[in-house]
This record gives sequence, C-alpha cells and structure tokens, in this order.
Amino acid sequence: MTRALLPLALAVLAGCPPPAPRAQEPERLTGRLAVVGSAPMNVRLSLRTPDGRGVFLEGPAAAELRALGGVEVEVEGRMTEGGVFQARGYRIVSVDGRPVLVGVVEAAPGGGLQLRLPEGAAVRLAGGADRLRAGQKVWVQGPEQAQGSVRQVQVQTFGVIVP
Amino acid sequence: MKRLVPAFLLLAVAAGACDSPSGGGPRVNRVFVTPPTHSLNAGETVQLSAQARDLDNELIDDAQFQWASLEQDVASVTQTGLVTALKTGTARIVATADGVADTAVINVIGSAAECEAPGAGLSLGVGQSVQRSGAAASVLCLEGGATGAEFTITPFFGSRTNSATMVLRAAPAGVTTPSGPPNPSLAPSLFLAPDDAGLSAQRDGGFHTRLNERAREPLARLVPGAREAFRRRAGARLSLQQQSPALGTILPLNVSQDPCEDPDTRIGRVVAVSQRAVIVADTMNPAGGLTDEDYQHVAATFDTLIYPVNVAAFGEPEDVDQNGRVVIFYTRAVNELTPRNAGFIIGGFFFGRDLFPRTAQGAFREGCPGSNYAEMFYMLAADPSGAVNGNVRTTEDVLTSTLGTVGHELQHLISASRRLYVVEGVGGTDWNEDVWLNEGLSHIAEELLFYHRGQVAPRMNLGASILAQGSATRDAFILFGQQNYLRYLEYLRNPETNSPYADDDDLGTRGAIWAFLRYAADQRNGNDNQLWFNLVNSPLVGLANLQAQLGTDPIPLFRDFAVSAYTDDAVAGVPAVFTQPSWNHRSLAQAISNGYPLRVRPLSTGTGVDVTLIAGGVTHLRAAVASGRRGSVLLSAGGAPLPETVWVTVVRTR
Repeated sequence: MTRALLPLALAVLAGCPPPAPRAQEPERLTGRLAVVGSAPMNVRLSLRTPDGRGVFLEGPAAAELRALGGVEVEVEGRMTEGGVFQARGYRIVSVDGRPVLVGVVEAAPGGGLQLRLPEGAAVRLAGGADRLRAGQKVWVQGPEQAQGSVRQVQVQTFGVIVP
Repeated sequence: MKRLVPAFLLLAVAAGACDSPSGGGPRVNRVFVTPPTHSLNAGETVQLSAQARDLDNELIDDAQFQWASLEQDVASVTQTGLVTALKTGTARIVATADGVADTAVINVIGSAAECEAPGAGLSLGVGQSVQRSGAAASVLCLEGGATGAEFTITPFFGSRTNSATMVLRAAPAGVTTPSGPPNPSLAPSLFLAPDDAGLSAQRDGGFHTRLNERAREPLARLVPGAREAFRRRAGARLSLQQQSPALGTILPLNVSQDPCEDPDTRIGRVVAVSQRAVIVADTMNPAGGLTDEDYQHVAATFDTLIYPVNVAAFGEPEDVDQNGRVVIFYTRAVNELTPRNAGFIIGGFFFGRDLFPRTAQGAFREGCPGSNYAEMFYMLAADPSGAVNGNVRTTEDVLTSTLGTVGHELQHLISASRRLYVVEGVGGTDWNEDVWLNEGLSHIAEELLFYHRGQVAPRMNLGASILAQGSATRDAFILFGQQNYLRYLEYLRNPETNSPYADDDDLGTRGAIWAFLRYAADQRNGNDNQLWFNLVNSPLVGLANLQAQLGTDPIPLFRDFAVSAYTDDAVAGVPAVFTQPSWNHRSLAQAISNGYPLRVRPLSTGTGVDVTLIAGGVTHLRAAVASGRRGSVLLSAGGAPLPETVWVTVVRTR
C-alpha cells in the first residue's frame, strides 16, 4: 500500500495534477492466439505477442478467442497483477495475413445465407456458405463482389467462432 | 478494394499531364471502379465502370480513364473497361484518371478447355510428380500416355491459422476411376485387433481431449517468484518429498484440478523407491489392482529405460524438491476423469502446478498451497471390478499401457520444468509449448522407448515383421508402439479433418504429429536426439519452434508428409520426400487392422467432389486417364481459383 501511494505523494509534492485512474484506460495487446500446455490438466489459451512473449488470456472474451487458434487478433482488456490478460473484447486483425469479415450468419431474404456485420450491414454468402449455419458467429474470407447495392462474398476459408 | 498506382502508370499519366483532357476543370480526388471484384470463367467478359469525384465528392462527368491489366496473361481490358478472362488466375485491373487510380480484382476460374492447348498435359512417369500452388493449381491436365495412367492428386491446405477451414471442389473431366493398386481401402475401416496380436483396440493410451480451462491465474502470477525461489533453491525446504521417503510412508497428495486452491487430498502409500522414482499408490485405489511387485517393476523400468531414454532426448528435468526422483502417483483420481462408457481412457496426466512452491518465503511473497512441489505425475490405477464410474481396468491392461504413459508424461514434465526454470528467453507468464507439438514430443518419447526396448532403430522401415511371435520388437511394440500406431490410423481415416498441427489434442492430431515429427527427423537424417532436445529447450513455440529447429519452413514439410502417407511403400520411384523411412505403415496396417485405412476419393467424369479441409489437412483424389487421352481436374475454392495457401501435388502412381 505504501508503495502504491508513493508516486501519488511525489506527484502532489511536485505540483502535478494527480494521475487519472488507470482503471478507465483499457489496454490493448496484439498477437497470435495459441492453445498451449499438455492435456488434460495443463491446457491454456495464450496470446503470443510480436516480441515472442506469451500471455495467458482469460475474461469474458476468452470463450470466443478459444475458437481462434492461430488467428492474429487485437484484444482489449486489462492485464492483472498476476500477469493474466482479462480480455473483454477483441477484433481479428488478419488470417494468414489477409483481412476477414466477421459477423453472424442468418437467412437471407429470398433464400440462402448472409452475414450480418457488427455495424449492421449484410453481406450475402456464396461459395462454401453451405458449410455454415444460421446463428453461428463466424469469420469468412474470399473474393467479394458487389452487384448494385448487394454485396456478396464467395466463402473460401472460414472459422466458426460461436457454433 | 485495393487502391493501386503502379509506377509505370504514374509515369504515363505524368507524361501526359500537360495535355490532360480535364484541363482547368475540377481535380480528381478519388476514383471508384465497380464491381470491385468479379469472378469469370476463361473466355467470359465483364464490363467495368469507373467514376471520378473531386474534393467535394462531386462527380466529375467528363473524367477520362486509362485502363490497364497488371496480369495481361490472365485477363485483358480495353480502354472502355471491358475485361476478357483468358486463363486461370487473378488479374488486377487498374483505372486511372489524373494520376488517381482504383483497382478491381478479377478472378478467372479455369475451364477444361485450357487442357486442349498443345502441351498443356502433364506427362509423368510412374513415381514422378509435380507441385503447384494457388491459382496455378486450379487446372490440372493429365496425360494418359501410350498405356494409360493413374494419378493421385493431393490438395493440401497450408494455412498457418490452425483454426481455419477451407472449402474445395474438384471437377473431373475425361478421367475414369482408378482400378489397380496401390489403392488403400476406399472406405474407412474399423480397426480390428486380432486377439493373437495382443493388441488393445480402441485404447487411447490416456490422453484424450479434455481441455481444462478453469482459471489458472494463480500460476501465472507465481511465475516470476517461483523462478527466483528456484534460483535460490528456497522452496524445497518445505517439500514432503525432499528426503526420499521410505517404503510404507504415508503421503498426503493433492489431486485437485484447481491449481492452488480447493485441495482434494488423497492419501498415498510409498510402494517402491528406486534411484529415479518414488512410486506412490492411493490407499483408496480399487481392490485387486497392481501389487507392490508390479510397482517395483515400474520403478526399475523407469530407472533403466524410461528415465535415461527421455533425458538423453529431451534433457534432465529440474529437481525442485532436491531428491533426484520423480514421484509417480497411481491414483483412482485419474480413473475418475473418464466418464462411464466413454470412448476414451485418460491414462495419466502431468500438472504444472506441482512445480511451484507451496508457501511464501523471502522474495517469493505468495505460494501455491495446492502444489505438491515435486517432479511428479498421476497415473491410472487398475480397477478390475469397475468400482470407479463402472469402467473396468484390468491389471493386465494397465500393466500393458502404463510404461508408455509414464514415458509420455515424463516428457511433459521435462518440457515444463525446463521451460519454466532453465531455458533462457522464455518470456511472459506463459512457459508452455503449443499443445499439438507438446503432445507430439511426448508421443516421440513413447516411440524412442519402443526402439530401445525392441533393439531396433529409426529408418529401418519397420513393418509387419516386428510382430513375429516371441520377438523383442513385438513385446516392445505392444508396450510402447501400438498406441502411437492406433492414433496414426485414426489420422489416416480422415486426413481432411485431421491435421498434425490442429488446434486440439484429438487422437487423429496426436497420431499425425507423432508420424510427422518422425518423418521430419528422418528427412533431416541427422542426430535425432539433438532435434528433440532443441525443440524442448527452446524459447520458441509451435510452428516458429519447428522452423527454427528444422531450419526450414515446416509447412512444405507438412505437405510432403501428407503425400507420403499415400506413396510410401506403395509407389515406386517417388522422390525421397514422399517416403517415410522408419515405418512401413501399409505392411503393419495389413497385419493388424484389415488393410490400410487411408481415406481416398476416386474421381469420375462428371461427378464433382466437395471437400472440407482444416488447416494442415489434405485430401487424396485418384484419377485414371485412358491411353491416348487427356483428362482434366478443375480445383476451386468457393467458386474462385485456389488461394495461395493451397498446394497441390500430383503423383503418377501407375
């Protein structure tokens, strides 16, 4: 406790305004997700950062991140005193170096499937879309086409984030 | 949509700027080409259009555009934006106005007509092969030659993202279903272990998927302090195992799945003590199980075989409790992890928490009370009457599987303790190897024990002859080899949805990564133990670790390994990369499992095949072409040419 108060006391003595509470500032980490350890007792979800360090991930977003092994992500949350990152949210940076579309699969008007993106837009799913089911949260990759106002992606590769 | 201004276009526009048709009119701020992406078959056309807008986002009606294709062999474009698809691939079409450009991407899907061009066919001798990737692999033209020919076509999804899945379609024309050998079982077969082989069918060996993802924050928090305590050798003073206990000593040991809290203490009795092992048996184990003599046999085998073989390959485990021994706890707590009538058996486990000190002391301000603070692991107890969850574990079965499992868990212990306390440069709070590689190395440990016990060596192309009655290799295979083999067969049954680096620890993954690591060591053909040591004693993990220790990108090795699963000991004259020098899997499979269960897909004209591949997965397509004919196989993904992460290997097999 004494150590924690020391910087604040020094700041007051120096005439500086007190530092803003750090709890308000979410931290962000970028890296590649990996499932590490040995089964069945030692298995953990880890984020391998570009400097080669491994950080265990937990928190509300961990369940979805568990389905994204090998994916390059940016996680948002807080590093605990124990060195575990409590992930509250995330975004996919890339898969195999290329961007992806992330959303929830739903039935498209007139048949077929479409992907509802977080900002509300819908993208029709073609190609390998028959491997997907309505209700799944997925990422997809493939050539995109636009016919008038209708946007479409030919699904070549995908990952299921929430079955 | 990519905005691309090639240098030559900029130069061209700059050279023409003096007589720009836009003159003193509004300056172009942005250009838009629509559609931004389009897919065509070869020979088809699409009309692109372009718009230019000024700084106020107003449309510039009289803007004039220059059109260019950056891949003119794939698609051409006129100065009105009309694109003609020429051959399989991806072409970038650029429209430029006043030095501002936009790019459309045109995917040209191949057609069988491409195979009609003179010289388009692949003329291969038996055993010869070609490899292509991406769009260049989308159209395969196969020559039947003078006698007719059979081919295996192996698309491999080489994504480095081990949770990725891809869709693939194969559309054959002018081909027939192959008839002759080498032809693995076309339908996945059930494994049948003949009784006289003494093999246990459907045995997991103890490591089936059961991911335990409960909070482990306490361990991460303890890493820096534990390392400091280890350097000062501070924690061991409170260890129960510091002094090797005498036979009959009663020890309380925590078997809880929680790392540091909520202990589940079982009482164990020391039943064997050897130079390197302390064997402890849970006093509540089911009746009729292993005898003290059995445990002493395990301890002796640990000293003379398991410990020295593992240490020679992976390094010495650290000695946090300073007694020079590994505690092996046979406890019903392991049996309790396998549900009633499950299709798998958990045969043992290692738990990293036992490497952390229990109590705070000095600079190590926080302990892990749940730790047993010892080099130790936990083993399945015999349960002849099925007292635990109704699962019968006969003494004979446990004795057959336990030594291999001990070797397996010892690798996990060595890896964790060395990466936690010894290996320089292991950063952050995570000291673990990726699960798939960690498990693969433990399966290598089992294989090494087989070689030593069986008095054989790698690169001897071992086949059915090792199962000769009464031979040392047969006994060794039953104890240390068969579980790896059964897992490999599981991989072969579906290499499309199994992969050596899949993001799980399924049996197929385990079988594949064991066979891959053996394949990689054989291809390297050097000091195997140096390779195993380097993989375990590395600050790197996963694919990066493999790349560093093998000295080459592992993805092409995974690709060639997958091809070798078909060609090894089956197709004459193939390059060495398509062989597995240590094992003749077809011979062994024939002897113990009613044939080689590799899944293949025969192709026939007019019948498209849809396949789903996980990262690292392959499909083996087979096609025959009649004499004097040329056939074709069109490969696509999602209706577009194959992405660059797909490699296709074509081998003429007959």
